[in-house]
Amino acid sequence: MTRHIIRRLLQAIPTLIGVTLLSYMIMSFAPGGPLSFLGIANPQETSAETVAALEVKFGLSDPWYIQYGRWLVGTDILFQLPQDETAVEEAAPTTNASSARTSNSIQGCSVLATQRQGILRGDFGCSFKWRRPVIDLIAERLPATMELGVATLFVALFLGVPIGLLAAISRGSIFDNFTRIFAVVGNAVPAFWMGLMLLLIFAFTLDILPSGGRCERMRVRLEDGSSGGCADVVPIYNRLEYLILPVFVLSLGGIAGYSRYMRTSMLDTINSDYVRTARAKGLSARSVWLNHAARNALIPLATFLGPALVGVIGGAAITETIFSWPGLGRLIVEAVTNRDYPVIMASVIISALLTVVAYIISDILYALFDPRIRF
Amino acid sequence: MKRFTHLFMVGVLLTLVLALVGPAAAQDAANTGGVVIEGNIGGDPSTFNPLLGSDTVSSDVYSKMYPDLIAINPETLRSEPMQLGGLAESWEYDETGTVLTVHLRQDLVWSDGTPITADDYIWAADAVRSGLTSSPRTSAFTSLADGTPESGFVDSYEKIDDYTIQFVLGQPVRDDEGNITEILPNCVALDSISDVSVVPSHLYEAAFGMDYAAMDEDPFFVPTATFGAFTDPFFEAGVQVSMLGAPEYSDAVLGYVNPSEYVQLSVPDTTVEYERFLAGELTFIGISADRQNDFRTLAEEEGYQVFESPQNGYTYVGWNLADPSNPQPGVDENGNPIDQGIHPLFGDVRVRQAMAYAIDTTSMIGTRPDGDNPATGILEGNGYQAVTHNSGEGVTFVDPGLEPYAFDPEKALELLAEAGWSDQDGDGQLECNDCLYAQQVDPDYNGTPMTFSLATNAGNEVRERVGQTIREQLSQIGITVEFEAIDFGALVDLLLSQTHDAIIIGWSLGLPFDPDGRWAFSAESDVPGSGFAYTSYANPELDALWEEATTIPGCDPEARVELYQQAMQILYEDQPYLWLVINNVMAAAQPNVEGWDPLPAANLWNLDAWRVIED
Repeated sequence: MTRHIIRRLLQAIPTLIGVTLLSYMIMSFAPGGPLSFLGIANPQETSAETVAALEVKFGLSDPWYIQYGRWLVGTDILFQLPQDETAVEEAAPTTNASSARTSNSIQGCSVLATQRQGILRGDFGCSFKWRRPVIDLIAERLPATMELGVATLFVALFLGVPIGLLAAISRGSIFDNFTRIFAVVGNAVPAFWMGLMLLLIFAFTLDILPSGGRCERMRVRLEDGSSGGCADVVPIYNRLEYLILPVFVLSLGGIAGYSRYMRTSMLDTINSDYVRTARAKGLSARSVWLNHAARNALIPLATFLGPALVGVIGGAAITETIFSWPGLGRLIVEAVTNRDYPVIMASVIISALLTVVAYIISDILYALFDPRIRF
Repeated sequence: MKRFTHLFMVGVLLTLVLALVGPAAAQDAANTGGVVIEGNIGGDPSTFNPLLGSDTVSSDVYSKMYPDLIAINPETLRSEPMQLGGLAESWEYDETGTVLTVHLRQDLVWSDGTPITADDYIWAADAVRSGLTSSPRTSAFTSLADGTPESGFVDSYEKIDDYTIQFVLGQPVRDDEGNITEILPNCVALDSISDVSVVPSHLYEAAFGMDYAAMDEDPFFVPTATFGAFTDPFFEAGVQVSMLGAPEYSDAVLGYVNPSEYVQLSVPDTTVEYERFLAGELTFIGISADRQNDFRTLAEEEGYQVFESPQNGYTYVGWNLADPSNPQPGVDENGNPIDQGIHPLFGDVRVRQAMAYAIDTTSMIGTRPDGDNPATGILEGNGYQAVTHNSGEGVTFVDPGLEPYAFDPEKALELLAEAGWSDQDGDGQLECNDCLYAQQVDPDYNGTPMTFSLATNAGNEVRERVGQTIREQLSQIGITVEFEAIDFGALVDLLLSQTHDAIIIGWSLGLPFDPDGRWAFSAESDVPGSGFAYTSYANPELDALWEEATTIPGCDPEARVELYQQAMQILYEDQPYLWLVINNVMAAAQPNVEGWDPLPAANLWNLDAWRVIED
């Protein structure tokens, strides 16, 4: 097993490089760029010369493969960006800013930085749009995304699997038919429509659930003197009501999918010889269903679990937008809209990595559930 | 008499008491006006530094912490002295019209008590002009510190004393090598000065020294002292930016800042934003065109405060006048015109005028609901006809007598026939029959059907419907329009590449209002790949008017208005754009907001005077 995992990880390296190369190329050829909107938004104030000069400083005037190389290995070894040596030499050393600045602790970064390390050395770069280290942008959105994603996966699995199981047991019953209709509706209803309807009913009309966000809006003074928001001081178990609607919308498709898959898998299993044998031995129906059939029916589901983890981290942009949820999905969509190459590439890397890891997890789960499988 | 003396003494006494207690009372009242919450659909800010920022979300934050050298009068929307939040007390030009001396108010201090002086502007201008930062505000200057040419008007600035700054500014004249040989007077150059904000130099210098590039390493730097109605921004990614009311801000409308906190709450979906406003979670909001009719009724029932005004901008169709297969800059490096070729259709002014007659903008604007009659048109009555550039309610730069082209398909067909476009074979489709392109470029073009592509940005429902309407209306007179809605980035690329036929897009015109339209209608701004004069329209007569209107001695306002009216008349006749509509802007506030007093294009001018009354 260990050798298998190591082999899969080694195989992932060329895959990841290929994915990033392709992504960078496609992104570069896509219309628009990080500075496309600067002039069009302020045509009277921003001249074409200014935009062109900024493109040089940002390194955007270089061919895409140079930009890709810079992103990959950094600017200190190859593909250096232009800089005004004289001006830098003549500049006075920076004084310590601490006495002049407020307690605002946001770490920014320079979009003009000439000393990038490159992704191979763990430097995800600086966001063109938000002027902050990409890794910081992702790190601050990750908790919200994990909250939503894990809760969604939990609900989808713990409702979807039993529903599928029961539907299989009571095949042809009203319950079975109901779950079939539910599955169709659950997959067919668009998330944005469902989200808006739920908000209108439960938040704006009945006023029993919050209208969005991850927590109540507030500004509090933290122990270190800086300011903080609700999520900094209110534990998740005291703000579960904020999860109800987005988790419901996101898990609906999962419940529908898992239940149908579980039902099909269960029906396949109960026609197996060993289940027939178990019945012939006179075991109770409950024992046959739960101990023999259900356990084996779960094995194919393991293939779903790995990729589902990608969904947990990748976020759900539409649902996050409707519910003003400060997650990764919204960040990625905004980055794509603004052609923020470093953030887009970071999301590509993370998704690709997660996919690789997810399939390794699937393999492991498969081996755990099915003793016949050996790598 | 005795009684009068008694009353007089009491009056004097009361006045004295009020004079002594007044400021203290105002101080006590500061920051007791509740929390003002605005929905923000534009994402997170990118910086709190006014010298680096350019996006609206960031500027909504830093503009509340820093003064301008010359501020805009919210009523006239022009740069004027002695404005709240502005340093300029007065200014005068010398006899050449290029040397401007600005005298600063001497009563202003940063929140730490340090006087605001000329040094604060000079440091900021030096930082931007160094060219070492990512600031797009270098556009304010004629050149950077290292001599690199820029497109602005501020050539130099000098501190005369703590409260006086002298500028040399105007239109630069350059030699063949790009060196400036002369500065000509320019009446709109004044507005460039405030493209650079004023920052507390003592704190910026303490933080960055003279290493201006270091500002880029710390774009969220907020100094310990500011000068604005709100301060100490707290940023929570994807959630909010919260700013506290500045208790010591002396330039507030009332002399003190009412709200305790101002919040930009991240609400990325416009429908949810609207519903959250109706639920009382947001203090004020801009109502989109498709909801304005419903909201008017709702506002009457629920007591919401509503303010409406025409948008400071317009939606239009930009025609490509030049050969789209061979885009060329308007002028060469010596400023000589470059042949643009002609577009097969829109290279002929008669065709462009015919389009103005063939497209019914009135029906696009439509009407508001009236009793049992439902709303009509794309804007359901919530818009105005745009006549030409700069046209808008109250804008005097357009002759008030100038009427929009009337919808007249017969007149359009007449003009098209005159331009060599007619239906010779009776198939209902117009073809070129000795049209201008066949005459001047390619005789084989005769017989080609009149077809062109029209693009706009997907997701903008109004523009998409305008495009569909244009396609339908032109098909009625035998013109085929291939309309498509594409990604905004792709549209901008198409527009800048100058390979398009026609594009539906809009301009938001900035403040202070600048009637000079050279950025959109001059050969100099016609630069494939980056310029905004992407229609390749050029007219020497118009160029002369732009020039005269910005260099007229003394910048006499009345004389300038007359020249601009002539310029707009030329644009109206030449139709490089088909001006379509000016949207109706509707702002609304909760019934419990006191002091809400919006002005056109300046809805938040007195934000610091608002008071949100708790139930």
